Amino acid sequence: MTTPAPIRTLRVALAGNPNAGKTSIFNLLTGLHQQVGNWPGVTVERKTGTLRHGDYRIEVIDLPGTYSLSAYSLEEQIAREFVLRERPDIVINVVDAANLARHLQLTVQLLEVGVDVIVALNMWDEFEQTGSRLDRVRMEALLGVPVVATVGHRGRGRRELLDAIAALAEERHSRHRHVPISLGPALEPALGELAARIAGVGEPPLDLPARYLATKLLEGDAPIAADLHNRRPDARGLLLAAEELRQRVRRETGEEPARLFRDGRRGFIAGLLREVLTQPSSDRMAPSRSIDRVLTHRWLGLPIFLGFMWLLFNLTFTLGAPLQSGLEWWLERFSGAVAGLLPGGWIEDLVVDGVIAGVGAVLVFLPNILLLFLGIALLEDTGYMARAAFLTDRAMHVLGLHGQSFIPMLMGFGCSVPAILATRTLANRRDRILTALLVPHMSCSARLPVYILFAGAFFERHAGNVVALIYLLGILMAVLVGRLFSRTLFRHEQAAFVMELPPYRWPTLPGLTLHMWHRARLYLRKMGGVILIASVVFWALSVLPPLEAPASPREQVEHSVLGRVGRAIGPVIEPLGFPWEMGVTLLAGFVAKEVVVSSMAVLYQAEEPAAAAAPEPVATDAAAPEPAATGRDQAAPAGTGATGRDLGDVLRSGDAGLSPLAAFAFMAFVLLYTPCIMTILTIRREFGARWMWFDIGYQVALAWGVAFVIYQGGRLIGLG
Amino acid sequence: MRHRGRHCRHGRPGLHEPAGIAGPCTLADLAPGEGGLILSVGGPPAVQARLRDLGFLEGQRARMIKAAPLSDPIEYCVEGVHIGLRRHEAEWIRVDHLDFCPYAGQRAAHHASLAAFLRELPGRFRARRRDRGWGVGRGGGRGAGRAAGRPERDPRARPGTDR
Repeated sequence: MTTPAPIRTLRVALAGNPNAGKTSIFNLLTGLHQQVGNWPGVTVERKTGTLRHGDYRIEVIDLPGTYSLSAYSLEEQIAREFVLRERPDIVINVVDAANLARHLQLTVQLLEVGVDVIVALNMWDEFEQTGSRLDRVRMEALLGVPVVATVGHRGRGRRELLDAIAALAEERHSRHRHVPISLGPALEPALGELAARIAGVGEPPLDLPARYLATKLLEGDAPIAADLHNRRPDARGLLLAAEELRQRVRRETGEEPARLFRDGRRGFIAGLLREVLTQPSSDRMAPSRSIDRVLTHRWLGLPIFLGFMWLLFNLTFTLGAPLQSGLEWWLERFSGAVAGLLPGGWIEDLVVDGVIAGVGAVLVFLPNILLLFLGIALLEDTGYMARAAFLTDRAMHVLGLHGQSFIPMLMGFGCSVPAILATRTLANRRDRILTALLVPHMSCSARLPVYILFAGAFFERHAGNVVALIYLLGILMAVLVGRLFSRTLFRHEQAAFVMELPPYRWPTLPGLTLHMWHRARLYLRKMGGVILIASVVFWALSVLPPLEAPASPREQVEHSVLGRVGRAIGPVIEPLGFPWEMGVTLLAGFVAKEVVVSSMAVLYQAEEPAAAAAPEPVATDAAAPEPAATGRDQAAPAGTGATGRDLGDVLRSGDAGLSPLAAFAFMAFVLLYTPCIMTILTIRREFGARWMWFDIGYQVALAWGVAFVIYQGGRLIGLG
Repeated sequence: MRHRGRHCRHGRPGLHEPAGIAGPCTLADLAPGEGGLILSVGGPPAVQARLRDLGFLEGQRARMIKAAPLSDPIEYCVEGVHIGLRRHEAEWIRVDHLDFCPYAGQRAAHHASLAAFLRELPGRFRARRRDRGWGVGRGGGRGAGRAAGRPERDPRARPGTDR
C-alpha cells in the first residue's frame, strides 16, 4: 500500500438557467449523498452534496436557477452573492446544448467574474438528434474554459465532468486561460479607463477583479455601488468617475449602458456560435407543439388537466389509504408489544401514548408523501407541470397566486402536510408562503369526521348540502384571504411572471426514485424530532396534574391543564354559542382534527357505558391521530364510530348546549382554524417561526370572526 | 396532399402575403400564429430585465402560439423557446406586426389543427417507436405520418433574422 495522498477539498457550485437540467447534473454528481437545507435567511432551497474523486473531496453546491447574475430576483441575488463572496473553486455552468444562444448569457457573466468555469453542455443527446454539430475544441479555445458534453437524466458525462474538475484544480487543463470578453467599441474605452482607476485605488475594492467591478459600475448595478459606497469610503471617487463615464457613453451612443452591455454579450455569443455551431434549421419544439395541440387545447386542455389531477389525487390518497392502514396496524401491534414489556403506569403511558404515537403520527403520512411526490416528479420530469401552470394561471390569479400553486391547493383537500411540502415546486418565496397560508382553507379529509358528526346530528336531511357549503366556505375564504394578503403583505414583491414551456421528455426511473427518496428523507428527518416533542408535551398537558383515582376519563380531562385552559377560554367562545366543553375539544383539535370528535366523546359520555369505545384520556387519541386521509367518503374514524352515533344523539338532544346555528358556526370554526400540529410545524420548518405564529394567529382570528358572524348574524335574522 | 407546404399553420390553404404589416402593436395583440418584430421592451426595471433575459429583445422576432383556455397566459415562441407570458406583461412589449394571418384566431382553425393532428396520430406513434424519443421522427424517415396538414413551421416564419 502506498501512503494515501492528502485529500484536498474542492468547492464546486452548479449554476444555470432554470430549465437547463441542473438538478439532473447535481444528482448525477452526488447520487444519494445530498443534504437539503435553506439558504441563510431565505426560503430558497439549498442543496449540497459531497463525493470523492481521486485525491479530492468535492463539495457540490446547487445554486438557484437564474437567467443572469443581475440582482433583480432573490434567486439571482443568492447565486451572485455566492459566486462573488464565497468564491467557489469551480463553477459548473449547466447549459442546454440545444439552446446555446440564451444559456450562454449566464456563462459570459460568470466569465466576467473571473471564476474558474466548466461549461456542461447538457441534454447533448437531444442536441445531436436535431442534427446539429458543435466544435467543442474550438469552443474551449474561444471561451478559455473546459466544455463537457453531458446527458444528466441518463447519467452520461459524470467521468468527463470529474476529470475536468480535477484537471482545473491541478491547473493542468490545456485550454484553460482567462479570455477577456470584448464587449464592443462603444464600451471598451470606458471599461478600460474605469478598470485602470480601480486598479489605482490600491487594494482591490470588495475583492472583485477590477474589470468586473468596472463592468458592474458602468452597468449601473445598484447593490454593488451601494456596497462600494459603504465598505470602501476611500474609493467613493470611483462612483463619481463611473457616473461620468456612463454619461459619456450615453452621449456618444445615445443608448443606456446596461443595454449596451447586454448587446455586447449577445454579440460575443453570436460570434462564438457562428464559429463553432452548425445547426440545421430544425425546431425541436415541433413534437411538443403537437402534443400541446391536445394538452393545452382551448376546450380539451382543462378537462384533460382535471383528469390528471383526479388521478394524482387518487394516487395519493386512495391508493395511499390501504398502505396507511397497514402501517397503522403494524404500529398498533408494535405499541401493544411494547406495552407488554413495560412495567405499566406513567412510563408505559409516556412511551406508548407519547413517543410511539408521536412517531406513528409522522410515519402514517409517509405513503401519501411518497405517492404524491412520485406523481409530482412525473409531472415535472415530463414537462407537463409547466403546462398545468399555463392552464390554471388565470384562475389562480384570482387568489393572487399563479398557476403552479394549483397542485398544492388541490392536495390541500387531502391533507395539508404534503400539500405544503408540495409548495417546494414553486419558484419564488412569495408564492410559496402565500400558497402555504391558503392551503389549510382547502378542507382536508381529517376534518370530515367532524362535519359528518355535526351535520348528521343537526341537519339530518340537508347534511350533504351543509357539508358542501362548508367546503365552499373554505374556498371562498381562500379567495378573500388570498386577495387581501397579496394586496397587503406581499404587495411589493413582484417580478415578471414567466414560465418556460420546455419540450416534453420521457421521465427516467432514477430521476423519479431520487426525487421521491429526497422528499421522503427530508420529511422524516425534519419532522421526526419536532413532532415527537410536541406529542409528548401535549400528552403531558392532558394527564397532568394526575388525579389520584379518577372516577371517569372526563374527570381526569377536566382536572388536567388542558381542561383548565379549556374552562378559562370559555368566555372567549361564548359569543360563538359554544359551551366550554367545545373549548377543550377545539384546543385538543390543535393536534389533529380527528381528535375533536374523540375528545368530545370523552367529555360528553364519560358516565355512559358507551364511552368504553373511547376509554383513554384525550391525549391517547390526540397523539395518534387517525390518518388525515382515509378517503373522503369514509365516515368517522373507526375508533369513534361506535360512539359517533351516541354522540350524535347527545348533541341532538340539546344536552351539549349547542343549537343548530352554533353547530354550523362550530363546523366553520373547525374548517378555518389551524388544521393540526403537523401543518403548523411544517410551516415552521419551511418558512420559519414568524410565519408559523402569523399563520396560527390569523387562522384562529379568522375562524373566530367567521363563527361570530354566523352565530350572531344568524340570531339577528332569527335563525337560532 | 397536393398543397403540401402551402398552408398557414391553421391548416388553411394558401400562403399569406409575407410581412403583411398591420402596424405597430403590442405582443398581446397578436393572434395565434402571428409574428412580430420586437420594437421596444418597457415596464419596471425588474420586469424589463427578466423579459430581456428570456430573449424578448429589440430586433428579435416573437410569434404568438396560443392563449391558455381562460385566455390569460399567452404562449410565445422566441429564439425557438416557448414561453408563457401574462397578457399584462406581454403588453410591455411593442412589436411591428408581421406575418399577418387572416384566418388567425378563428375557431374553425383550432378544429382544423386538432383534426389534422388526430388524423396523423397513428403514423406519428409509429415514428416515435422507431426512433425512441420525442425529439426524433424528423431526422429519420420523414414518413407517412408527417405529410401535409401539419405545416407548423410556416416556411416564411424564419427568414434571415434568426441567424
